[in-house]
Amino acid sequence: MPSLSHSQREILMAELGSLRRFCLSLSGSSADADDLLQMTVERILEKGMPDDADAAKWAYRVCRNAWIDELRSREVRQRYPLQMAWDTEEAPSAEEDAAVEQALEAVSIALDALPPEQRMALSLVAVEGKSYAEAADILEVPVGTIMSRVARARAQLLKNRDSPD
Amino acid sequence: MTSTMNDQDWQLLSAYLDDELPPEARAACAQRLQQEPALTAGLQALQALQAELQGTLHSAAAAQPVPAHIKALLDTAPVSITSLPHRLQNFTGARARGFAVAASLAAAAALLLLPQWQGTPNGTPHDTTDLLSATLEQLPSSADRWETLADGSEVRAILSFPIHDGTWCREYLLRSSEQSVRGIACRDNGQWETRVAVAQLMLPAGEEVAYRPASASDSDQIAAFVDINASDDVAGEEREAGLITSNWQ
Repeated sequence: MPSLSHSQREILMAELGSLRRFCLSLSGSSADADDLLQMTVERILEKGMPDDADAAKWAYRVCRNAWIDELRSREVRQRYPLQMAWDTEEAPSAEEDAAVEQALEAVSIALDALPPEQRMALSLVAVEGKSYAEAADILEVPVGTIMSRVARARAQLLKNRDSPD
Repeated sequence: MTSTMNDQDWQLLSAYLDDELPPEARAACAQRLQQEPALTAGLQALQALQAELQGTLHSAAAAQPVPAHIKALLDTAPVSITSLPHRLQNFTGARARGFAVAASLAAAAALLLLPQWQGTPNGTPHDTTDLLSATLEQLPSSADRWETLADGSEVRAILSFPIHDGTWCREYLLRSSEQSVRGIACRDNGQWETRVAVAQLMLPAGEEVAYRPASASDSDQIAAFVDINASDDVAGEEREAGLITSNWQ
């Protein structure tokens, strides 16, 4: 079974905070972000990574794939709502800061309107501060694709803000 | 005002905001921004959006730290302190060889940092680290065997054990003419990389062993590492010989 080296674990540990923020920008809620982060870490530990892999970028890729899987799973659950009775929404935590949560909810609603690929590109570049080249490496698309996705995402967000439904 | 902008304009401004334009294109964009109010308004809108996204998501992430149970999945550092005798009891219960335990007991002693070996993260000079790695690859564990390295220091392999991710680790003693280091090295990409090391004075042969109390934090680093990371299976003599032959695969 593949395993992580000590140095890869250290890199991942140092990257956890940023990775969780990426999860937050994708999922839009703290609870979902933690679930996504845990799923990401568990997948990495289960499947390992190549010795020469950039541990941080690898983790973002695994996170992206986990998020896409989650979106597909949600589609299925929405298609068959009777089957998701077990999947109830988590009760809001009393410890959560109301103002932060409100702002997060507003941003999340806005980001929900974007196609997933635009949302991921925007999250990496605008929130995580990745360069276009880094984001392209993580999402495995050309740099030009990142440039256009980020621009379209931003334009769409501004358009939706100016002309809400 | 920004409604007059097309997709190319948004892409230009977006890349300008991200500082991803080549120098010439950036200069040209800056010039256009001075002359075109619509473009300037577009950039300001993008900047405000950027600030909102970053501010909200960074604040939300900072408000709640990464959950401890997720950190724990990756954490390999010792998180609890246990005494050396307790750790050895665990090993004896896990089929540790008698002679190896005896060697481990005989080496436990008063702990002092070893000044000459403080120059690297592992507490050993680089050349000794390399020699140690090469020796641990081949040296069987033993209660009384010292292997002399090219730099004059001596190493004794004490135990071989796997940790939870399947990586093999070895507890060892490394001594110079004056002092000794006890450490645990784990095999990573064909090299034995020291994960924890503490310096100690060796008691004269035959002298009764006296343990430091459990609060001896340096020694406890070894014990804690084992307690946290070792899976419950110390390699026996035959198994270790096989591992050495197969390059620890």
